[in-house]
Amino acid sequence: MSDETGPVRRLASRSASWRCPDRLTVAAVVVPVLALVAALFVGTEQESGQRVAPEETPLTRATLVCPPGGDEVDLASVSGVGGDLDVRAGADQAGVEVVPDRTTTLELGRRAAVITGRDDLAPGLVASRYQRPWESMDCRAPVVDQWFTGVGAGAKHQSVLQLVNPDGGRAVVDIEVFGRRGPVSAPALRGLAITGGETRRFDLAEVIPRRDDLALHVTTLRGRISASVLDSFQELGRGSGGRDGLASQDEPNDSNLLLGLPKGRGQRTLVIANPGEDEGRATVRLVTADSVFTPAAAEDVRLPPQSVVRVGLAPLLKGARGNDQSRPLGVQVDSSVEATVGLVMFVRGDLVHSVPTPPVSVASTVALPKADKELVLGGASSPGVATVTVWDSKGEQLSSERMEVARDRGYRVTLPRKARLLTLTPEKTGLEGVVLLTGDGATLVGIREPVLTGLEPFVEPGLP
Amino acid sequence: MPSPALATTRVAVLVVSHDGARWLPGVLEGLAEQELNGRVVAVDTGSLDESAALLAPVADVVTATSSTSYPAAVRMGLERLEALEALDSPDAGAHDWVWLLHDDSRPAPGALAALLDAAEERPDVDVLGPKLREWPSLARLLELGVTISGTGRRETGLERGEYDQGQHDEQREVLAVNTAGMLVRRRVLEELGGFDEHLPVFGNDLDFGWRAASTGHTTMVVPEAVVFHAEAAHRGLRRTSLTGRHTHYQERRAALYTLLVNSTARALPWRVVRLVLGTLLRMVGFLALRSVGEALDDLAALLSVLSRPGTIAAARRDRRTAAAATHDPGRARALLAPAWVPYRHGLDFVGDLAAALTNQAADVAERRRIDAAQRDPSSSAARRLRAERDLDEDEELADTGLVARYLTDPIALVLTAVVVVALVGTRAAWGTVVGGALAPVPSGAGSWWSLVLDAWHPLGFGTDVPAPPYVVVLALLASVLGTTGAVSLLMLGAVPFGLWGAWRFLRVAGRLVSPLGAPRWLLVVASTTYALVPLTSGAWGTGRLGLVVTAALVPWVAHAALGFADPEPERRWRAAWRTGLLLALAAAFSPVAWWLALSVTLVVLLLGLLVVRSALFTRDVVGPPLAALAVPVVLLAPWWVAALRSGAAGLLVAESGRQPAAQVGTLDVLSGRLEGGAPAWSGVLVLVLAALALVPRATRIPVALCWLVALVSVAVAAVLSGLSLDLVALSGPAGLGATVVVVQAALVTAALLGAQGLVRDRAPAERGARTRVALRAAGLVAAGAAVVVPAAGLLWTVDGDDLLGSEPAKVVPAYMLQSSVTGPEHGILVVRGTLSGGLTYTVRRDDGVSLGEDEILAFAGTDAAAQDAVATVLARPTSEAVGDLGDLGLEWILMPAPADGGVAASLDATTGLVQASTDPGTRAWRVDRPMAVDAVDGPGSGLHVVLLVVQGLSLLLVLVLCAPTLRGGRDS
Repeated sequence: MSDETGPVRRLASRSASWRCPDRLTVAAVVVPVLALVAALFVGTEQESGQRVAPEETPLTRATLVCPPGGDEVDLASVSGVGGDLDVRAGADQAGVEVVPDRTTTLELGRRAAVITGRDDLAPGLVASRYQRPWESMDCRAPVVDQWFTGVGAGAKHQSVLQLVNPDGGRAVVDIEVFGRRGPVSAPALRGLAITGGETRRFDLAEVIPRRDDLALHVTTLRGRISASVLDSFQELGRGSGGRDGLASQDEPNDSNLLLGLPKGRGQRTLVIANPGEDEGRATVRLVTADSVFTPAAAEDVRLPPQSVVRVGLAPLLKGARGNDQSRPLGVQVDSSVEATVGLVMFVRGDLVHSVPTPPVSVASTVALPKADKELVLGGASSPGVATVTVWDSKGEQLSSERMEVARDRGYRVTLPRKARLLTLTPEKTGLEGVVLLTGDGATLVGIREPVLTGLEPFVEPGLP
Repeated sequence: MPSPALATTRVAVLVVSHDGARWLPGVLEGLAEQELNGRVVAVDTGSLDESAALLAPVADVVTATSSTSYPAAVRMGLERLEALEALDSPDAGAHDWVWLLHDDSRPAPGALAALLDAAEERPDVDVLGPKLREWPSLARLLELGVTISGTGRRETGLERGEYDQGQHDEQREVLAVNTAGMLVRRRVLEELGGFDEHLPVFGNDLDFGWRAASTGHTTMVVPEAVVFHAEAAHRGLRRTSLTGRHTHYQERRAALYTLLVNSTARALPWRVVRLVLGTLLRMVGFLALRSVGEALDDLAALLSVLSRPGTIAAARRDRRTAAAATHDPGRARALLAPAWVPYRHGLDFVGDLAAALTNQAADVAERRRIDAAQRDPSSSAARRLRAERDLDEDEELADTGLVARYLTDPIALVLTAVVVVALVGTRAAWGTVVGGALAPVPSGAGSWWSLVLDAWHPLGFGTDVPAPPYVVVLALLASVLGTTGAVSLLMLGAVPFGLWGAWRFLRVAGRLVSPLGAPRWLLVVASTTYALVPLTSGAWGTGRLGLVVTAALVPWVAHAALGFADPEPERRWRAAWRTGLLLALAAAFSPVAWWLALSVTLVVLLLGLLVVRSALFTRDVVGPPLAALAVPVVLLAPWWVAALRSGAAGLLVAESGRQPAAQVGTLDVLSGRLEGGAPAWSGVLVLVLAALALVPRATRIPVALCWLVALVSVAVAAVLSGLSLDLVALSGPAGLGATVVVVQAALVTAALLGAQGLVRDRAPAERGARTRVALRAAGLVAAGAAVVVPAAGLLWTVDGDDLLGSEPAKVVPAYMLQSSVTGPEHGILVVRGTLSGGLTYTVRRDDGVSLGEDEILAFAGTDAAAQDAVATVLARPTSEAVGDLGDLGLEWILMPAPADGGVAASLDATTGLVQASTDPGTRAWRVDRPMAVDAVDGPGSGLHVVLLVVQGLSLLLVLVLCAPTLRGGRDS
């Protein structure tokens, strides 16, 4: 047997010489302390991928869909160049020339119109659709997700849901319906397949006959769909009734501003839908030229989950009908949960809908018909300046008014009757605005930001 | 009394000698003690010593060349006998019997007489053999007749080294007897043509016996006759030009020849096949015992015999002719060894191997003590050792049944309970288990084998990033257990296996520190604490399979590494191979384990250099640890070489499984917790106990060493945490899991050794009563805290949350899956995210990302062109861009719910993409063009093949090198 020994043995045998307490004790203290100190330097970091916001690219192709209803389609391009737009209505297709700052009016009957602008004409495409007595349909690019609040499916208040597929391929939409007592079963509206170029109309009074106010959540599962609601109100027995298009809201919000309260006697009903799972409360305020305030008569509104609540505005507006200065210009609904709202008004025998529009922060244009009209502004996010410029049908500028705007106030600007194109340019603030058309009935036209650029998502490889 | 047979029977003694001067005097002495009526003829085959001179006084010596075979020598002896008889007076009569003796076989007095008596009693017997006993030990039995097994093994029917106590003393018929002491009727010897000249030294007795039996002659063993045999040729004590250096080769060749020439024609083909396969099996066995020479001898013998079919045919013909008249194959068959004999030997071999494996390292501490005691027999250590041995013997005598011992042992019951609770806690791993970092298993082991064997993987856009090294282990396991079974085994077995390893390691570690070792209850607490680390660290619950396996392997590696302290250099080297193999396994599952081992080794060697002088650093001390570090480098070569070549060097320090690895901070590394681990306080408790363990003076050095290991591990963690690995989309941390586990192991060991020091410390008895009480109280508190840790761990194990489930998330619709499994070019582009928040994509091919592929995909470099093509399709789709997807082998685009409507809408409007049906919320499109079949093909690699071969061979070599030494054969 050899006398060789392993290193451990050597260490152990050295222990005799380590008997002097110093070295061993020092080691016994230093080593653990060093270990603890070294541990302080342990700390891994993980950089997540550079999440980059989508890139804005020039829009090369833009499609607007004007839903069926209303004879007149007003077209304009704010891109600053003229050219031919491609307009398709049913089987008819034609190129329509547009000139900068001028509105082109088309008579297409009640068919849906698909307007396509290419290249330089793609950005800043604007279209509106009107009908007398005043009703307006929202012409906009197809969106994936939208909400219609204040829909009716009864005998008095009837709504027609119109779905237009502007593309060649099949599209699929899914529609959720919320009612006073929660979600409404509507199997006929689930997983609807719309073939290319087809327009489908659903008379809700036939599909889901019921008397309460409803909210619709329209989701495009596949392809592109332009959804719109054409609403009508019939006063039973009197024979009077009116129609208006019901514009959509893009997403539920905890603060919704509804601008535009046409003058006159009539029924004004606020409809609030809470699509969430939690119950919430909402406060209704009035917006005037001076302030935003909660009327004494206003009570908090309980918002049950996944339900629609109806609030009559008459008690709130009582006594507020005075002079121009204190006249309410709109209603603001603040809620503890995200909600969608709609204001259904039957004023002077015509139906008028007010729906929140997203605030605009860049020059935004709307095409208008020849009518009595006024612009209502509100919801400024900070003190700023707004410039309102209008042109007539020949492209001549009629006026350009520059005004200061502040938070928690409403503004009213009377517009020339012959103004056909309006551009609202906010500076240093976001602003919501609607144009109230009156004279022959009334309707409200929301001002939306133009789509000037396309968004390209940031794409990166991911981990499995 | 002279035997009556002797008076009438003339016996010729035939001694063949070759360099036998060492034994011949004894042989001749023994011969002189016989009552012999006949001549003595000696044949000396070219002895270089004085053999011939020694023989000359008593025998007629025939001198032959050194190349004369034994059969030839016998023939020459018989010829000389005939010549001598011619000179004899006619009334002397012929010699009826020939008694064959070797120059190393000494007959006991009366041997010949006993044989002749038996021959007279049984006139039908023609060949008689004595009882052969070992010379010079005299008492051990060598042979009482021999036979041959189906595999060619010489069967004596005796146990190895069996002592002669008369237990086999009955005359019986046998197949053959050894030529040393064989008494054969001269007529029969001549009739059968003597011995076969093709069997020059070995095995000619078996062949002769077989031939004799086939021709109707009877062979009998006569135990009353005793011959002592030195077996000089068999043991290689004597080399002749005939045996050469390879006696094993000669013996084996003889055995094969004997089997082939004597078996019946019908059995011959089967016998050839069996011998070929048997030889391969025997070679494996020899290799496992590191007997490379014998393995090659076996092969050479087989080739030598099979390459001469003419010789065998001629020999078979001769035997047929000789036996034509009295052919009786049944007689020989009855005398052959039973068919089950080889299997019993195989079982014995496996049993021996297993016993040696389990025993070999457990006693490093024991051997060091024995070594110390041997060097100084008067020391107290030696006295204690003797006392313990006496005690052990008493205990062995009082041994009760296994079950009774188990049931009355509280420790065994507690350990069983721990295992049961752990198995309940890990019940999620029964059957299919996925989740967290653990990807689902592929459908068959074939997928894993392709990952291992292929240099190019059709994953993502095709990559040469190598598969992680643990896939080899998984593939091996899955080939037996199936893929699900392999992962289940690892996930379920981690705690019991870790517990076993921790128990073994801590017991030996404790005994290295002090002879009594740690009390068993301490061992239970400590090993349970450690065994639960895979669970309490969170590795198990988050599906970190690699870390779970590594944690279970760490105590085994440590246990093997204790072998470096063995007093015998040979055992230290074997410990090196064993440690290296286990380390390679651990590094395969957690590559950081190797870096840790490297750092610890370097620090310990450096320290050794400072403490012990360099003069004591011999090859046998420093070599083994360095060899252990080199083994993983060689065994994992196909992986790390390919990783470096493909630019995925990050793999060398990455955590196994889905990336990125868990975040590790200061508290995590000290308390042994990763994401999803048990509450940190129990880990902190271990830290505190390990710190307190420094207090008892008796064990302060080993505890400080444990702390040193912890320090090195923490330092490695600190260095590695500064690294940032470039993953495919983001940068992730290095895999620090292994360092966390090793720190825990070091702290648990430190705590155990400290506690052992406290418990075994005799000093308190000398101190005052107050000190004793204080110490006892402190010990009780510490013990309570120590017990709380594993108890809390067990509780958390059963109760704790984990990310594991049994169903992989189904993302891909069934029809898409059906398409994608038809070939790698039918890939699926899975897109997640939103337009505003950015999109991420992954490429899914075949049946999806399975275990072992995560790392490849995470480290596969991004092909710029491919990324461009995909980004174009997703951001601004055009029909040309969609066409590029076909070239990339991407047939489908899938956006799992909730699919971003904006992105979906733009894809909907793109020509070349066809909408495909999906569940609500999910969107899918098919690329409407034929796929490029070679889209994800890549080049093979000759280097990879070479490295795989190196890996395989070195694995075999290391397995052989770390196998225990078995006592084999008759020569030990």
